[in-house]
Amino acid sequence: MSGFHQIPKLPHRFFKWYCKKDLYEEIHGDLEEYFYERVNEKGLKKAQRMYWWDVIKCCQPYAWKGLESQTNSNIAMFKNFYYTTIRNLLKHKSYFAINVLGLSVGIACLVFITLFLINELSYDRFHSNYQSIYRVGNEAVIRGEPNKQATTSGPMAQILLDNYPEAIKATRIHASGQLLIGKGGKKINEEGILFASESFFDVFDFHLLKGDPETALKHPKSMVISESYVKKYFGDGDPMGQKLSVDEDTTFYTITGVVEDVPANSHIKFNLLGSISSNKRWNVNRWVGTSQHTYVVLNEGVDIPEFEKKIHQVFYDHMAPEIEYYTGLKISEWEASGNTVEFKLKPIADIHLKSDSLGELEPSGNIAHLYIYGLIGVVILFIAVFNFINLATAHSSTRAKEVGIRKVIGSNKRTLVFQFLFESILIASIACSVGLVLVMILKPYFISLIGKEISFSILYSFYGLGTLLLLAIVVGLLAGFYPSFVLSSFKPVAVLKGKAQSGRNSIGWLRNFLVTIQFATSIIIIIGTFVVYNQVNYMTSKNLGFDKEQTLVIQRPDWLKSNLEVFKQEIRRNPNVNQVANSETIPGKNYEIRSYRKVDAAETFLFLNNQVTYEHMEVLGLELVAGRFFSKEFPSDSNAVVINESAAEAFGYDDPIGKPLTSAFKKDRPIKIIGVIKDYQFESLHKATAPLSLELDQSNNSGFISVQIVNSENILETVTYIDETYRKLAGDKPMQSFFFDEEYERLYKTEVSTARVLVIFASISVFIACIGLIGLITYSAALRRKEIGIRKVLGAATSSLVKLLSGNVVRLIIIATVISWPLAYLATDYWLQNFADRIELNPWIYLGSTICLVLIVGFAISFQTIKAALSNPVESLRDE
Amino acid sequence: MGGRTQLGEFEEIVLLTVGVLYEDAYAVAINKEIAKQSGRSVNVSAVHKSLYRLEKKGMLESQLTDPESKRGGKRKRVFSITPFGKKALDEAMELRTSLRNQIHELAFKWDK
Repeated sequence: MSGFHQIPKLPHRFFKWYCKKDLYEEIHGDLEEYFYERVNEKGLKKAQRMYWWDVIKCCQPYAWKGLESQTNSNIAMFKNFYYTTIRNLLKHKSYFAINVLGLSVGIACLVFITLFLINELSYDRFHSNYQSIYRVGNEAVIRGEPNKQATTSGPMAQILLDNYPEAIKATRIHASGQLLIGKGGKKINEEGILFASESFFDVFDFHLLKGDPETALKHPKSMVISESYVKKYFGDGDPMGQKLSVDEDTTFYTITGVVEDVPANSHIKFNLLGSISSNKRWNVNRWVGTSQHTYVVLNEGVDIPEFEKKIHQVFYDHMAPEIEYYTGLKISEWEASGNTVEFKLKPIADIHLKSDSLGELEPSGNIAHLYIYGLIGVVILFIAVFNFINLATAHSSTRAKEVGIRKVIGSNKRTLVFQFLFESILIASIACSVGLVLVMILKPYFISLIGKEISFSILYSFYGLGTLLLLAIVVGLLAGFYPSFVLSSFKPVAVLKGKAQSGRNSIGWLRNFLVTIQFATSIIIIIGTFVVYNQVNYMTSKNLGFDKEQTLVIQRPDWLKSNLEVFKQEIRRNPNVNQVANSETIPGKNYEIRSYRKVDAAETFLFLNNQVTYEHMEVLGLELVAGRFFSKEFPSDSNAVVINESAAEAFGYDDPIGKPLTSAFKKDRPIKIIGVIKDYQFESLHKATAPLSLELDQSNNSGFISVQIVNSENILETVTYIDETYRKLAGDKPMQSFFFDEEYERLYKTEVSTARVLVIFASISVFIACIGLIGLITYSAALRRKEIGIRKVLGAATSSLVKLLSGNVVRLIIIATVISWPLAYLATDYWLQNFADRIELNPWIYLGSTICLVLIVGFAISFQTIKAALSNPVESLRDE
Repeated sequence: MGGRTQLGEFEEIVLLTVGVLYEDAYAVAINKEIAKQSGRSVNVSAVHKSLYRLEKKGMLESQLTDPESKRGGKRKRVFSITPFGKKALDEAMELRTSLRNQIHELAFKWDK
C-alpha cells in the first residue's frame, strides 16, 4: 500500500507486540483507515501523532495477547510452582533453614550498611540550596608544614558580603565547649552549644517551628532550642520567652525560637543555638588566633578557584598586618620564608567526607571506611548467595525425578528454568522479610556499634520497601540463575532410570570455586580485622611518652577565679593525690602556635605551644633530656622556654640549653631555652610528632587542671573529695571532669568503632560461610552413605573416612590462602596509610587467620564427618 | 429483568448504531456515525471494546469482509445484531418507556 510506510514504525511495532494476532488485521485496519483519512485532511504530522494516540488508547485488555486464553493455566502453573516449592522446603527443612538463615543475615547486614552509607553520603544535602553553600576555611603552610583549618576569623563573613558581589548570604558559627545550662535550680553541663549570626536560618534550611527565622538570633542573649530540648527543659510548657542561664548564674538567654531536631546527616549539630552577638569576645576584629566557622552562599556559576584568588586580598588587607605585628617581619619576608595562608571554599556537601581540616564542627567521616563497609556488605551477601548456589546444585539430585516427570509430561526447559527461578525468588523474598525483622530487632545494637545516630526512616518508606523487594528479586535471580539451568537440563530418560548424578563431576568445579572464594574472603576479612585491631590496640596502649593513667582532668578552672591556687593546695593535701598541675591544653586537645626567632636571625620558627605550671612535667611523667624544667627557685623562668627534641632539631642546636630567643608573644623580650624534653606524642598518632614549646604561666586559669591520683583502690572517694572541694571554691558550680586516658581514646573513635564493626561482620561472614559448608558436607555425607558403609565393611578406619570426607575442604582452604594473602596485604596497607605511626607487617596475623579458619571450619564440619564415619554400616546398607 | 441482557449506556448506543448502519457496521463507520448523530466524539478503541463485549454477550455477530485498499489492504469486521441483541434493545427501551410513563406530571411542574 502506498501510504503504509508513512505509519510511524515504533507505535506500529508496539501495537503488533501487544495485539492479539487474530484481532490485528481488523483493528489495525481501522487505525489505518483513520490514518490515511487524517493524512488527507489534517496533514501527515498530525495524523502520525493521532496514530500514536490511537495505539496507546487501544492498548486495553480486549486487544491484549494471551491473557484471556492463558490466564487460567498461568495461574495454575504459578500455584503449582508455589506448592512444589513449599513442599520441597518443608521436606528439606535444614536446607531451607540454612539458605534462609544465611540470606537473611546477609540481607540484614546489607540493609544496615546501606543505611549507614546513605546517611554518610547524604550529609548536608537536605539544605535546598546546598550546591551553592560553601564553608570558608584556611589552608596555611607554615615553614613548609601544611595546616588546614575549617575555621577562619570572625569578621570574614561580613567582609565577603560587603566586598564581593558573588556572595549573596553569609553566616558564621562559634562552637563553644561545655557550658553549664541552668533552669530554676537545676544545672546541666551541655556539650556542643553553637552560637550563630542572625542570617543562620537564611543560609541553612533548619526549620523553625516557633519564632521568626529572621529575628530569632538578632538580639544578644537570644537562644533557639531544639524540639527534644524543649521537652528536656520545659516539658510540655511553651518555651518562647522563657529564660535559661548560660554558664554564669547571672547570664540569661531568652528563648526566641524552637527548631526541629537537627537531622542525623548534618555536620552542624546543635540542641541550643545562641546569638553570636551575645559575647563581645566573639565579635572582635582579630584575624590571628580566632576561629569561627564561616558559611557563604554564592551566586550560581561563580568560578570557585577564581573567587578564592580574588578573596586572597582579604588576607593582605586584614590578616597580614597582624602577622607583621606578631612576627616582626614584613609580610613579603614572611611569605618569602615559605609561609602562606590561603582561604579555601569547600562545598557544604563535601565537608563530612572530603575534609581533612582541623577544627571541624563534627569529626569527619572517613571515605576509606565507607569503602570498607560497602565492600563487606556486598561480600557477606555474596557469601550467602554462594551458599544458595552450592546447596541448590548439590541438592539437585533430589529434584531430578521431578524434573524428569515434568519433562515427560511436556514441560520445556524454559518453563523449568522459570520454575526454579521462581523458587529462588520466593526463598529470597522470605529471607528479605526475615532480614527486615532482624534489622528492626538489631537496630539499637547497630547504632551503638557504629557509635553514631543514623536515620532509618527511609527503610520504611515506599522507596525503601520497593528497593527491598527489588533486592529480593535480584538476589533470587543471582542465586537461582545457575542452579536453575543445571536442574532444568537433566535428561528425563537418564534420571527416571535412576542414573541421576548428584552433579558431582560436572559442576563440582563450580562448587569448589565458590567455596574457595568464600574461604578467601573470610580470610581477608579476618586478616583485616586483626590488623585494624592491632593498630587500634597499638595506638591506645603505645608508650606515648607521657602518663595518662589515673589522671583526672578538670575543665573550667576559670570558675575557681582567684581560688585556683587555694584549690590546688587544698587537694594536694589529700594523701591519694600525688600532684596537681594546670595547663592551657593537654595531649589530644588543640595546641596553639607560637613563633620564635633566634636573637640575631630573621628566620621565624613556629611551634605548637602549651602554657604550663611547675608541676606539669611530674603529672605527665615527661622525661627530661637536657637542662631543667621550670622551677620556683628561678624567678626568671617566666622568661624561659622548654622545648622538645623535635624543636631542638628544628633550631639546629646541638646544645640548645641557655640559647636566647625572642618571641612576639613575649613582646620581643629575650627568653632562654632552659630544658629539652624527650619527644612525646601529644597529638593523635595519625600525625608525626611536631616541634613543641612549653612556657610557664602559673596563674593561667583557662585550660585544664590535671590531678594525678596514686591510690587506685578508692578512686571514687578521691574524686568525690575533689568535686566537693571544687564546688566549695567555685561558688557551688558542679565540677566537669574526665579521666585522661578515656578521653584520649576518643581520638581514635572512628578506628575503634571500625574495629568493632569489622569484628562483628567478620564473624558473620565466617558464620555464613560455615553454615553453608556444614550443609554441603552433610549432604555429601548423606549421598556417600552407602560408599562409606561399604568402605567400613571392607575395613576402612574412622580416621581415613574423616580424611576422605574433609580432604577436599583442606585443599580448598590452601588455595584460598594463596589467593587471599596478597589481597589482604594490599587492603590493609591502604588502610594503614591513614596513620603516621603504624604497626609493622606481622606474618603471624596471616598465618593466624588461616589457622583460625581451619579451626572454625574443622569444628563446624567435624560433627558431620565424624557422625558419618562412625555410623553403623548395617544401617546404610541393609535396605538392599 | 435478567442480568444477561444488561446494557451499558455506551453499549446501547453502539448496539443501536450497528442496527442503523446495517450491512456496513464496522468500528470506524460506527464511531463516525455516533459522532455525527450525537456530537460525541470518542476514540475508536472505546467502540472496539464495546463491540467485542457485545459480541461476547451474544448480542452481535460478525464476519470479515474482503480486503479494502483504503484500509491498507486489510479486511474489516462487520457486525450485525442478533435476535438476542434485539431482545436486549427492546427490553432496555421498554424499561425506559415504562419508567418514563410512570413519572407523575407533577414531577415536571417547577414553577409553583
